[in-house]
Amino acid sequence: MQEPVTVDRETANRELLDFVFAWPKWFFATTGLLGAVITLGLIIFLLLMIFGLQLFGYAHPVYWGFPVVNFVFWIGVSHAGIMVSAILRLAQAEWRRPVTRAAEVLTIFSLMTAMTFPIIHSGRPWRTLYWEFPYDWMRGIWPNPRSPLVWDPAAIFTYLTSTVMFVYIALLPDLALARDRVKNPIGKAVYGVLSLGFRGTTRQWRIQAIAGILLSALILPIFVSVHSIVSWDFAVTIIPGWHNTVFAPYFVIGAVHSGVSAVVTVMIIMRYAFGLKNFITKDHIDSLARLLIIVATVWLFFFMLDFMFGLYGTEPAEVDTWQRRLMEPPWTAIAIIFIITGYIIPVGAWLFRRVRRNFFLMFVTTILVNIGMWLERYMIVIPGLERKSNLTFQYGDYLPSAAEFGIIAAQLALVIAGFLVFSKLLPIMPAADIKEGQILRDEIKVGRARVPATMREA
Amino acid sequence: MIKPEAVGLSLTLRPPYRPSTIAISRKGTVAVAVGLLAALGVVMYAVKLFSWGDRAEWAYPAAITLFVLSTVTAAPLVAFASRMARGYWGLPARRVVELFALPSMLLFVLLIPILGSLPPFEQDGVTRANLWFGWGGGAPFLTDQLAVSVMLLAGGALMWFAAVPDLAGPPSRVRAMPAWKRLLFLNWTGTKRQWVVLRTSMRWISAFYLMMYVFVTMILTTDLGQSLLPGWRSGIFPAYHVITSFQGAIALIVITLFLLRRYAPSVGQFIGDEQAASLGKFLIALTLFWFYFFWSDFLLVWYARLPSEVAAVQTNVAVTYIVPFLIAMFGQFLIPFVTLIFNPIRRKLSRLAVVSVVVLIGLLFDRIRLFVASMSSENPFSHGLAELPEPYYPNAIDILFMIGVVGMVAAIYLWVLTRIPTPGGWEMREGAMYRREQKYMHAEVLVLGKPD
Repeated sequence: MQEPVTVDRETANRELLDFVFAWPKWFFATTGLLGAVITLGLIIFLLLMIFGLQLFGYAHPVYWGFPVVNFVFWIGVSHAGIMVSAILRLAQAEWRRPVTRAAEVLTIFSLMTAMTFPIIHSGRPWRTLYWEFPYDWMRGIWPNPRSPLVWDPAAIFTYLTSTVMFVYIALLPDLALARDRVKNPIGKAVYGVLSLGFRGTTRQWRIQAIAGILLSALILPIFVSVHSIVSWDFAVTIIPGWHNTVFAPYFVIGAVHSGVSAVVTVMIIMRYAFGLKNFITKDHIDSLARLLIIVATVWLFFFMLDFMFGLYGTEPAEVDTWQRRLMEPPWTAIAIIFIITGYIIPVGAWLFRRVRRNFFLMFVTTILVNIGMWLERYMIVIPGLERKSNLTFQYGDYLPSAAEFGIIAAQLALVIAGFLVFSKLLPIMPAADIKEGQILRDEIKVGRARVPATMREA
Repeated sequence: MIKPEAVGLSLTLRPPYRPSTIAISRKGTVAVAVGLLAALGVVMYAVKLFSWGDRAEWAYPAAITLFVLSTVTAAPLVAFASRMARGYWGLPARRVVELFALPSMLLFVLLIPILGSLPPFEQDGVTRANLWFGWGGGAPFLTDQLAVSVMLLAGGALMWFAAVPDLAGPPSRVRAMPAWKRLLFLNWTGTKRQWVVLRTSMRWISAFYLMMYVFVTMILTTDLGQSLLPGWRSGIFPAYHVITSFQGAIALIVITLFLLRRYAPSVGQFIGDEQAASLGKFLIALTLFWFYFFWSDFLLVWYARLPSEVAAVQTNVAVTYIVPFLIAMFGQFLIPFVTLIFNPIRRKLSRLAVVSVVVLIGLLFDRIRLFVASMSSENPFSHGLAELPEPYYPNAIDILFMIGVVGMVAAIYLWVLTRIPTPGGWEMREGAMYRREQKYMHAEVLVLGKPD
């Protein structure tokens, strides 16, 4: 790192835990606002239960609309945590340290939010339960275990469980720190229980480190499988525009692009909101932006593969779908916005060091990425379903309703609120990890220059 | 924990390392053996030219050509990755892998008759599937060869640029050179500006080489693979090919490093298990990627049950070429995965080299099942295979051709290895400056400098 953290250990402890113990005014205002938006979402959900799916803009043959698009989008964002945390940890990237916790927490709340969409998508969820429980074995109809729709919940729940474990293992030393610093006896008791008696003995540190590394390695296959299975929800069908073998890695890398961008956005907000200027520096944002350039370019390669091999077979239905996606209004406009915001503007800007080290520009470009990536999911899901009917030669039509937009806003608010509440209760910056990074930091003198260096086990 | 070896304290270079070309023990025997194999390759290439235009005759040459693309041509990318990630383990290996850019040039020659044997995209009003969408700009022959040439030139430039500071010698020597030679040596006197330009250009050329490599892989695997086998339509296949190429490149590098350590002590002293530990990690990761990419491809075809796709998969996976497929699966996935899980295998160069040989054998059979099936298919203009084809077996010339190509690659590589200083002197010295060994409390630690 070119801009090492210069605060001493005591100041670091204080600043990193400051937000847990303080009650700034903006916290109440923001939470109130978020609560209002979430309430709006709940009202829409209530109306949905009364009026059913007619509240949404579904029209034959499009019955997968915003809820499915949002489901894919939030599952995508959830890929941030493991990409940043596990992969960079295994790669021994030192700059990862302040970024990891926020990324992992974002993973948890975006996963939880994503899991609500299948419920919303079913319209009147109790009917699903009514038909499922108790299961009528006499009908001789069995759930199809070969369907990715069955694999989905298994993968997502496994991912959520392992991510929670991953966060919790990393949290232990910070919980112990909070336990030692909190003055409120109730808080002390709660943190005391949560920290599992962590005292910082050599053995405890060793076990905590080994558990972290093992979980990092074990969580990677789950990380890859989650979005692959989501992609197979679409790709195993023979719907034009969906049936492409490239979907699994294309979805995974798109998820990483979207997720890491979301992490940058969150980091920049945290820097100002939580007063973490000493810990989230230009170097961190710069490194994440460099990583994003590579991820985005790989993602573009997979997008091109999807596009080219969609047209490659010159099958009329497939060509027709791509023509609709790219050449017909309003899809042309959506496609242009998607590619400009998802790749051209951000990556073009990130090529310049000055942009990579500018918090405002990084904030804007990473938000643009997620706008683009949301539109990408929309472009994947809807045009394939709007395909021309074989009998009437007419396209289906789908126009999202206000209720669907309301649900989007509420879900976004839910993720932000979850993140905020977590930050209020538990340390959002990995204090122990950051301090370890400070200990391992060194310098090497080459001529008159001093080069930042890191200590590693020989 | 990776202990530096007794002799091979990879980068703690005392006295300062001076770049020189390598000396190979039993040089004469090696030269004769490799020379004979290379001569065999040249003769077989000439013999094969009599079958110009007969696509099936070029099926096995196509497989070995794509094997070369997947190993030799992909190898220099490891130098790029190591520089990008500032990986210290890669310092002694960078020059070793960059030199593969020269034998890669063989690709151009090998591809001439192979691309020349491809049928036109349109015949009797029927078009076969292709990535050029009816573009008449000389595709696939001219377009593919143009892309390959650009890629090879980028690889050559990368190799040369990285070697210039070691080859040029003192400024007085460069100044005394004739103008053309001075240009060739980039007028290298080692000024600060020259270093900045050199590093920047190496970075850009490497990135360009990577992109060209991916592009070339995409068009070659389609033109020589998918577009010739009716019903084969897989968007993931170019990506699968790239990933398995990286796997092949790593395996090739491991074997090369092992041989250099064994037979070229001047290089071998810098090559230790530190390199094995890092390359082993990459190899196991890429082994898992093999499964992921293969499965993502297979599952969709299996699930969708489209007759044309199923027939294509039955051809190159499940029925016609099932034996090469099984060898590939064992070589590229099962054996390396089961063995590389264990640290003692992954972190020891000699053991890793054995696994790498298995990987390369698997890769060769993978290319055979994929490209022999396509090159020997009877009617690339139909929309699907009406019935599954019989396997196309190699004849003696095919086998000798493949052995000869390996010989030619080895001969060119050995030649360049004895011409350009290996390992790269300037990077080794720089690495030594940025690396320090010290005690921290009770532990031995490395301090690694990471300049921006």
